[in-house]
Amino acid sequence: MRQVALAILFLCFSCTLWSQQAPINVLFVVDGSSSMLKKWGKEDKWTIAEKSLLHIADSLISKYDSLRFGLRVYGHQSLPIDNDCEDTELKLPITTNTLDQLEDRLHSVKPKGITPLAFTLEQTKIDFAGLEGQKNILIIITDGSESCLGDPCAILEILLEKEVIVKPVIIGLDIDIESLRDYHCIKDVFNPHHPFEFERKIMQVVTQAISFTTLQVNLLDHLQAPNQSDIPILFYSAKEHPDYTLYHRLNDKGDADTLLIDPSPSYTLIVQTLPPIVKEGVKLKSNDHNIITIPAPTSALTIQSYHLDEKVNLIPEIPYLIKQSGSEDYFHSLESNHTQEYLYGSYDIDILSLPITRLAGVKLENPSFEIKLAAPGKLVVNARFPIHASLFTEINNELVNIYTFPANSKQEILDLQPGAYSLVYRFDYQRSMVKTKIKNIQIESKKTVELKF
Amino acid sequence: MKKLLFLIFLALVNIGYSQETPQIQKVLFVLDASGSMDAMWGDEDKMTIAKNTLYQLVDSIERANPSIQVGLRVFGHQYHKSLDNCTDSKLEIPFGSNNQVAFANRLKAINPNGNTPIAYSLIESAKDFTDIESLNSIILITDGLENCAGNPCDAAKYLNEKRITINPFIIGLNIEDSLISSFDCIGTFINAKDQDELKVVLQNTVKQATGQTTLSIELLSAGNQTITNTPITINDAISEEVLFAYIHSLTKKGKPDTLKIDPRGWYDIKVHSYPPISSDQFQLTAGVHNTLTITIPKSYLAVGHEQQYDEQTPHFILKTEDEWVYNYRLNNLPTLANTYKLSTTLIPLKNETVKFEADKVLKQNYPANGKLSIKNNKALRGSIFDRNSAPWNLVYDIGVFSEDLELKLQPGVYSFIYINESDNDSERSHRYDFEMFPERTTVIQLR
Repeated sequence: MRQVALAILFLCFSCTLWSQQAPINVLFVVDGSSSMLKKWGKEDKWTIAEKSLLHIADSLISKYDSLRFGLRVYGHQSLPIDNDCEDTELKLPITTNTLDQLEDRLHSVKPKGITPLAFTLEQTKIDFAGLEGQKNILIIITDGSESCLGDPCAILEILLEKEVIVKPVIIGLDIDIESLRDYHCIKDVFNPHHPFEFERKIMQVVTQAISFTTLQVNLLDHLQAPNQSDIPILFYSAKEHPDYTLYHRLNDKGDADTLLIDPSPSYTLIVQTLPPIVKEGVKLKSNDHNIITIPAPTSALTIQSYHLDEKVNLIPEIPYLIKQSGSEDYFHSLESNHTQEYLYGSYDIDILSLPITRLAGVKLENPSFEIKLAAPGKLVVNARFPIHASLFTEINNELVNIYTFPANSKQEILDLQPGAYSLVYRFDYQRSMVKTKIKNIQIESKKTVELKF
Repeated sequence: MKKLLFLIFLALVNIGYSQETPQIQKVLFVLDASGSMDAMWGDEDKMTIAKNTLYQLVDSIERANPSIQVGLRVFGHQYHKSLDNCTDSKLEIPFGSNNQVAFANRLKAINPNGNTPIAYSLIESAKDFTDIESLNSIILITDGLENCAGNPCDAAKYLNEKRITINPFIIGLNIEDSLISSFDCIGTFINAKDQDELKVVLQNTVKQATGQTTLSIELLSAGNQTITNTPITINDAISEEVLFAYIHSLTKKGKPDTLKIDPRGWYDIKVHSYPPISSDQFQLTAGVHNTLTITIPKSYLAVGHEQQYDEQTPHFILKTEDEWVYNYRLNNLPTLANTYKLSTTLIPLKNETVKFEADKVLKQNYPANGKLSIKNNKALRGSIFDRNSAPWNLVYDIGVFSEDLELKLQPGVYSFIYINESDNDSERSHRYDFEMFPERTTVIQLR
């Protein structure tokens, strides 16, 4: 019982929310040129367009109280031979029309002429007169390109700029690739190649196009201010691959920019800092401006390692591996001398010097952090006869074999971090453990120690 | 103590590489003169038998071997049992190499009398050895158990820990079987059934206590194959000082070679394989040859990474659960059979759990990298994502770049997500899906 009451409450809340919305004005612009009579699958394109349009309108009317729509058709009055570049007609002005009216007007159209799309689009300025600044959407259903010399894109750009419309959507009925170029300026071009695809997806496209659900992701920096940015964000719904992959940006005013996101699914947001921040179960409120705040302070870490003097030898950049303290797995590896942003936190860093420089519990809690690795020195071992040898050093109060020479080596060159080492070795021909010799070495930065046995 | 370890290691290493038997061997006889020693044992009482046997032994030692110094400590002889004295223990004859006369005289004056303070006597005898450079041993001759509050086991442990003496010998005068196990923790126990046996046992024990102790360390794979040329350190198990560092060796006959070694104390014998294997708290049997067999369940990693000519070998990091870490790139030794985390510095980075099995080669194949070449001349901000992972993993953060860029990536499917640095609108982010193939270049043309 209580659940039912709650459900009703929720519904009513939704109702008020919608009724408070500014009206949405949709103008359907439909191609009535002769090519629309072509068969596409079992039916001709016009019939498919007509049916789909009625279906969409039906669904939108029931969904949006504030929806007003109109219909403009072009290329249906003159024959191609007339080359009528002004063949366009507002069949239904934008108002609270009924579905019957739409059906009636569509039935009255018999495709016959050419495609004066640019001119048609210019006329929509008149259709939207008095509605400027509202949520005006142009949905163009066409199967071809401009027949006259106009540039539909240029017109659309003017309409957008003058805020006559907020969004144009092109729904193509198998437009050929050449003709598609006419619509290069439009982000939402939906051009299925099969009628069944058309019917299945058209609803989704239109619904998404007229949805005014926006999302602002505020990423907080170390000062808890929403000034963090330039981080990729992945939006996952239930799919294997992300629905949206975006770089988070701040707009001219310094605010996180507004994203247009399909509100239907529940998302997992992955803010791709290193390591990533995962925010599950993000549900957007439809037709509303949603704000999500995620703390994402990062610290620019630089691990500086040095090259040896070129005269001695140039050593490659020393890579390091980084993991979160307490975790088993490294999440990133990078060569030293790069600067990389990491999320604030405690990390274990293993720098792959010899011996491995292990830094446990490194706290990244400042906007930048630098670790300087002492420059290595060089150990050169030359033996007259083959030796078996291991290099020891003290790590955490234990003597550790950090490097074992290849069996029977005669020469070995190693880059070693500064410190005290003991080289334990025995000539291969000496078949007795007590013949083992120990050479203690002090390695200094950028200096070479040469041993000859 | 631990802090000094490395210095001690350095210092010791310069002293010598082997442990010869010290020049002087000191044997302290600790004789039980408690009340029970007047019990009959065959034709005579135990005390008389013990005294006679000991005198004859000292006499023969001093004739035959002048480098052995003997001393005598007696307990339970000064106070009668009724006085319940638990500190009745006295060094009757200090160490010397000409002590027969002293033995003859002092032994005559000793009669069984009081308690059996074994623990106290052992602790006291530590003071009798003024010099720990000599090879010191204690031969305790007794007919019974400690009857004071002392703990002889702890006392023996103390002697071992401090490396004062070799593990004590206890010669039992026909002690009943049920009590014998009580002596296990004190040292090496030998029960003499009768007078003749006592003589033989004592002779042998002195020989053992003063003889050379040797050790050979046998390294075997799980399949019993001989392993050698492996570094080994020998540490004092208590102080953790590193005493010796060796490279293991086999004789020409293929047998592990023999080390002369001080039998006192406990050793941690550590084979510095990857990771190391330690045979801890190893105690030698004095005066004999000891063999320690350490099984090294060696395993190998065969990393198949087809390098391109201009490429560095990637690093392969092995980690155990207890955070022992090793860079396999440098490895010239087999790895022990175990479960490891294997991580590489290839892009994308991988953390795999790998199981090395003894005497087997674990093959890990990493294909050759492909080269990603981004042709670009605008200021862009971009990142590379691995599309094989779920969710996609950021594998390389390029940051802002305004010229051509090259990256080595493992074969796979990726997405390059980027935005013009001058663009403020997230929706203008681009995604470019691409695939990488081994030794081939994938070009993203953005010019």
